[in-house]
Amino acid sequence: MSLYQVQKLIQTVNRDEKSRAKFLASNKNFMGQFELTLKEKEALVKLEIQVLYEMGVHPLLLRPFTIIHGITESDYLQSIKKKGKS
Amino acid sequence: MPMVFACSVSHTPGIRAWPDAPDTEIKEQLYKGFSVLRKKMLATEPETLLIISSEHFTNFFLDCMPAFTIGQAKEYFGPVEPWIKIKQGTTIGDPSLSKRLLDACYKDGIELAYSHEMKLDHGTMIPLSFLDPTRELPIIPLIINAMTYPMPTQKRCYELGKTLYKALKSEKKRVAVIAAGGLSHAPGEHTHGKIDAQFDREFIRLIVEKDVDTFTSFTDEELESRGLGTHEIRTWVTLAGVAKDLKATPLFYEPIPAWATGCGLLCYD
Repeated sequence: MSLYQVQKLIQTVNRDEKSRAKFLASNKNFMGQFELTLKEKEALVKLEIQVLYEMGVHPLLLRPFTIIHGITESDYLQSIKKKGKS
Repeated sequence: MPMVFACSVSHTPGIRAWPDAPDTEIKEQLYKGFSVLRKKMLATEPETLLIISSEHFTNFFLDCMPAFTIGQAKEYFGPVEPWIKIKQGTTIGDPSLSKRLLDACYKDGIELAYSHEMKLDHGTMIPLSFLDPTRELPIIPLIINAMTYPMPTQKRCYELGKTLYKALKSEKKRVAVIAAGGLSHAPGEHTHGKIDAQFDREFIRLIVEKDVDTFTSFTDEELESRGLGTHEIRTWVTLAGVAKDLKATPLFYEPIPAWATGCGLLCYD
């Protein structure tokens, strides 16, 4: 597992328009340039927000990443507050 | 010509991205405050804007995270966020002044990182969208790491501010300095929405009363307990050093839950 690689991917998508377009067009192809486990790839493809948050993805990376995917603030907060986190 | 204008402002994305979310009256007060700052700034006829803001993983990642970075580019693209509702475009830079400031900092014992390629995010673009919406004035971004540990201490930020004060004192150009960030907020955290208005108002009071010992002594734990975003007060602390001889006047402060941030505006005269 590499939180660094997950965060690196998210940062690249967040800050670069061309990378963002490539990721949104074909996230599986885009992920090939990063060293990710199957579980990490799944979390990114399926946008498993809670998994990514609990993995330790920095909030300043995760929230903009979810905004790009059209996730509302309330849905985002609901996702990260699951399983006993308050 | 020393610094001709200075102000500290909040830069939370909601200010432009979700303008209809908060109470209309409060939003209008904030917008009016920005309008007052723009008017005051333009009256001083600045030639360049030095914008002290905080990093948001826009220019740096964990492969290299400088404490302080000054932009030396001829122009900057921004905002990088397509959802911020500020038109993306380029703003001209001022590499010659940036180099003079950088050299002055090194001579005074503060080794800033520097970059000839930087992008702008909401941290610089939110204040710019109010203070110079047509982007006519050249800018120099000075970005502080206020998001991943370790971060420069408050004291170090204030020292940088004093160094910039000395550098600007002998500068011939008319420079306006804007600090952007804070105040208390917890963006994207499970405590998102938590605002410590008491802390924010106290911090503003400390800045106004120039209680340097106190406002440079908050620990990382004290700031983080109010939300990771609260670390951004480092930008205000830095400007307090640049504007150490000037009187600070609060123009606005309100906790704005819809934007999950304690929002403030402060002007130096």
